This record gives sequence, structure tokens and C-alpha cells, in this order.
Amino acid sequence: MTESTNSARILQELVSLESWHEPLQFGQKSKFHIALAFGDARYAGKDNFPIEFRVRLKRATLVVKCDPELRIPRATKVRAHPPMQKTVRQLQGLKNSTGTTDSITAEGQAAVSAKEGPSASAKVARKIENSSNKSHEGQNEVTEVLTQHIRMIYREVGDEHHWDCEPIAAETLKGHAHEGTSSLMELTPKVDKRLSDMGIRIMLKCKSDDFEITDITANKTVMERLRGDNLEKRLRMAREVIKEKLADAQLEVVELDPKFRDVIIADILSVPDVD
Amino acid sequence: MSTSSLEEALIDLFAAEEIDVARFGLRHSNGALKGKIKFANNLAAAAFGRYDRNFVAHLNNLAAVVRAQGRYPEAEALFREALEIDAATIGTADPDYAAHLNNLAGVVDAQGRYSEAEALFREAIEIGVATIGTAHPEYAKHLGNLGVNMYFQEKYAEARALLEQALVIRKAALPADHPDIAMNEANLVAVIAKLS
Repeated sequence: MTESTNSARILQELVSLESWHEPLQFGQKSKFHIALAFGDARYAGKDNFPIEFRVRLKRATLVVKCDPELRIPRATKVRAHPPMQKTVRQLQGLKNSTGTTDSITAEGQAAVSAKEGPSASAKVARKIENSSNKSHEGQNEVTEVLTQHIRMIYREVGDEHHWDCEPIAAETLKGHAHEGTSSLMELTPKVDKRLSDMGIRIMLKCKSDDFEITDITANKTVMERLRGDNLEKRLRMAREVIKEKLADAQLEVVELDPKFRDVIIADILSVPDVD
Repeated sequence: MSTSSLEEALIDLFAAEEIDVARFGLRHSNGALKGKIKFANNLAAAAFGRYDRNFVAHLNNLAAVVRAQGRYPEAEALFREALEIDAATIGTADPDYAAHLNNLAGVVDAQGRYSEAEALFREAIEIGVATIGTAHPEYAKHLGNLGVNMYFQEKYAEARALLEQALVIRKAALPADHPDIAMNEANLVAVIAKLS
């Protein structure tokens, strides 16, 4: 962490991350939870600050590193959140305006495979709108609203557990990725030792190109002094400066090629949930 | 650790009427030189676009700054990138291309790869003859650089001929107190000392 506290504050505003697990017991399964939500950060500076801007994240990765003496049963890992198949509902016998009968897929997540990208989800969202229009003459009314705006997909990377967070039918991450009401996986201590020593570290990472910087506006003084192309050029450069400084705020490894640098937006430890 | 905060960098960005993108990028980036160079190039690409003459000028400027820090391989990569854009935009039969070739030759020469540098200097001279003519001080610069390259290859007679030719052009084209004339004369004295 550097002295650039505003950069750090922006990162904090982008993400809310909490994690907890059931108390660990040797040979017993403990449920592991996270609550993860994304927001946007607005930078409206002080009087002497030349510009204002807004920051959002295009994607991010939740990384969970567990103590090697904790076993994670494969079947307990949530592979996709929200579940891809569960919320699919087939609306049968719905009539369209021409009087013919449609069979359409609607509501929440459609049956897309985990490999399909955000474009597949975008199509789903449009389908929902269409089905609402058609429903006047239909037997069923589509009333549910798509509430999940972020999809989490699991992948194992070495001894780490990664969930890639991507927006559904949007360009940036906004809202809950996981509310923590269900577990993300289960943990089983393999050895009988002081269980409080078994740490679970949770990080949220992204690349500097994953920051979306928008609504950059210069203050009055700057606009009076720099005009035309000179001002436009600085505003374009400002986007690169902001990305660089946000990435600088919490770098994991500084010496890596910037292309591969991970920006750690949040870094926490899971705590035992004791009532 | 970061060299400056977000605020400092942005205040600096919007402060001056003119901005040296290369130096700004190096000053406000964190970590290794590779990252600083990438940041400076991202800034220049955002400001000018990657196929703009200003971007090529930036690459040469950045390369010169990096070279002055003794980071020759990084400078060479930047000079080569500039030449690639030149070749794709203005073509190779252009005085700018020759000037940038001369820059590349200089940093190759500085790394002791004299034969490779010689070929590049000669190519710059050929383009100079075809584009700016043999009375131009820029052409004299190419000759002078090749002369110095010959000196380091211990080909003193050829070095002398090139430096003498360059000096004649410079004396005809530049004011008598121009630093290039003084530099040319000093190099010539060094070569003559070797020959005697």
C-alpha cells in the first residue's frame, strides 16, 4: 500500500467483501461463505483537484487460499453462481400476437453453459423483454425481474480456488456477486491440531485494464486554461494515469511485466462464525 | 513504492501548457523500467494514437531518455518500434526514417555491435543521399556517426575520410560556432592521432 490513500479509497468503494466459515472441527465439514458485492466509486476531488471521474470494474477474480491441512471436497465447490440450470423455466402455451403458440425460455438465467460468454446472457435478457410484451394474450405472466447481475465461475489454479466474476448483460460489475446465504464450498481439517491456526485467505484481484474509467470531467480552472485538442489529449491521458495509480495502490508483485500484474482490490481472512 | 500519488500525477498532468509524455510517464510510474516504458507508451497512445507522427517522436524521445540512463536494450527496442511504425506509415525512403535509423545505429553501436551498427549507419547515409542530398547537416551527421563507428572498428583511414567530409558539409551549412563543428573537429583530431 502506498501513500496514495485516495487510490486505496477508490478500491475500497468498488468492492464489499466479507468471509466466514463454520467453526472447524477435525474430520467434520464446515461451510465456507463469502458475501461479495460490487459498486462504483466516484472521485470528486477537492478544489485544487483538476478532474472528476467514476470508476467501475469490468471483471474480477475471487481467490481463496486455504491452509494445506484443510481438505476441500470437490463436490462441495460451487462451480457456477448463480446456478445455470436451476432458474430456467419453460413457459408453455404462451400465445404471441399472431395467435400462434411459442415456447420460450425466460426468467433469470437461461440454460447457457459455463463456457458461454456475457453475450449469451445478453440474449437472455432481451428474451425476457420480448416475453413480457407477448404475455398479454398468453396464459402465463412473466413478472420476475432479473436480479442477479454478476456470474461467478469456478476454476482451480494450483492450490488456489478461483471464481471469475463477470457481469451479466452489462459492461461492468454492479450489485451482489454472492450474498453469502449459501456456502461456496466446505472445509474439512485433515489433521487434529489447533484449528485456529488454519487460515483461509480471500483476495479479490483484477488487472489494471479491468478498471473502467468514465465521466472524466475537468474542473473550471483547467477548462479555462487548456482548450480544444490540448484538453482532450490530457483527458485521454488521465484515464491511463488513473488506471496506473489504482494498480499501484495495492500491487501484489511490482516487478512483473505489467501485462501480468494483478491488482489486489481486497485481501481478507475468513473468520469463524460463532453464535 | 509509488513515485507519486494519484493527485500529484493528475495535477502534474493538467498543470503545464506543454507536456513531455516520455518524462511524465517515467516520473509517475511505479516499479521496473519495463512497466514505466509501457505506461509512457500507453499515455502517448492515448494522447496521439499509435500511428501518429507524434507517437513516433515520443518513442524516439523516450528511447533517448532511457539510453541516457544506460539502458541500451530497452532504448533499442523503442527505436526499433519507431522504425516499424515509420516503415508502415511514411515508408523507408524518408529523411525521418533515416534519422531514426541513425538513432538505432547509435544505440547498437553503444552496445559494441559495431558491424551491425555500421550497416545501419550506411543505410541511413544512402537514404540521406536520395532524400536530403549531400549538402545537408543531417547527412553530415550520418557521415560523422559512421566515422566514429569506423574509429571504434580501428578503421582509422576510413574514419578520417568520413569525418573530413562531414566537417566540410557542416562548415558550409552551419554557423562557425555550432557545437556540431566543434565535436566533429575533436573527433577528427582523435582519429588523426591514431593514424600518426
